[in-house]
Amino acid sequence: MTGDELVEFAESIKSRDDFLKFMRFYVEDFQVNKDEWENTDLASYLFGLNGFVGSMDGYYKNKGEQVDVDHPSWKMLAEVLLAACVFEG
Amino acid sequence: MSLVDPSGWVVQETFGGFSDLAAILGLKEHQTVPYATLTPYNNYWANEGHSILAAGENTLRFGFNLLSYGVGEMFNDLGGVIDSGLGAISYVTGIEKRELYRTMEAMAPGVGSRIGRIGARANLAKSQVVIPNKRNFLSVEDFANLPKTGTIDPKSIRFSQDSINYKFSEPFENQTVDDFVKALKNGDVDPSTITPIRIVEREGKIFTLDNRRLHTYQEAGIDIPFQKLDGIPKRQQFKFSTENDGVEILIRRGKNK
Repeated sequence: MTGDELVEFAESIKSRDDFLKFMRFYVEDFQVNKDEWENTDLASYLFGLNGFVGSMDGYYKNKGEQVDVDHPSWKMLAEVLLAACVFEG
Repeated sequence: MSLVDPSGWVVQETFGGFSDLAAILGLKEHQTVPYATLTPYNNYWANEGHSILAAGENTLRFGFNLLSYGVGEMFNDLGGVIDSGLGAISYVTGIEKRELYRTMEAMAPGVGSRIGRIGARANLAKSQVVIPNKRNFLSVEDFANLPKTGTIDPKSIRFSQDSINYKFSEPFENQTVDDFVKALKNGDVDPSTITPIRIVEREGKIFTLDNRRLHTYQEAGIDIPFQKLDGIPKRQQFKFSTENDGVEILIRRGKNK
């Protein structure tokens, strides 16, 4: 699965089972597409995670999606994890 | 409606009730308008304890804009004038400014909170940034004509993220943005050895995917190496969290960062 395909899969998540499938692909992505991850050490990954969670309102607004960031869904959780790979925390 | 000054840094909202007048005057949303720089923005003046000076500065600027550029542009400073005026009253009377805003809000619902927001933005801009020269952001046409790689004025590129950490991660672990700016200015870092920033087009505007590097080069005032991408990889879309079209970026300086 490519990075683009992984993002598309995350967008389709509707249940915890979907999320668990996503997690398997996510771990595989780190092994296969590690060069596409910008936060590959734990510290930068956590900063990226923190940075995105603090900025996700703007992301969803720019995307034209109306979401309640205070009540995250499984889909949103997957997207947070994907963002943590690249976000400059 | 909002007005953005040519420097791109100070974003101030005009009051909703003025929208019709602004429309008559031909101002459009997010239109760039002339902005008088009579005095330098200064942390000292932005301090609450020196609000009288800030009031003076804003009133001077307000009047100058009115005389020089007409009625439309004076709105650019109106919020700042009222805010710093309240600051001056607060300073003299000892009543907290927030209480003055609450009183205003009670007397005219919606007004106090709006002015407060404008004033807060103006003060935030004063305390956090140095007003740069007029920003000429890269257009789609400019972008199309760029080579695949090269160097470019960092102030012509927009930020994709709304904020970045003050500290770098690898390979400059524990270095701060200021360390890197200093090293660039001193020549301790050779710009040609730094990975070029990636620049992309999104909805007719040109953004970087490498926000911290862009910020440091902007601060250092040195042209930045770039690499032009034809598209935006899907996982990079998560960076587009800016809510001001990438004009400015917030530097997070948390104790644990």
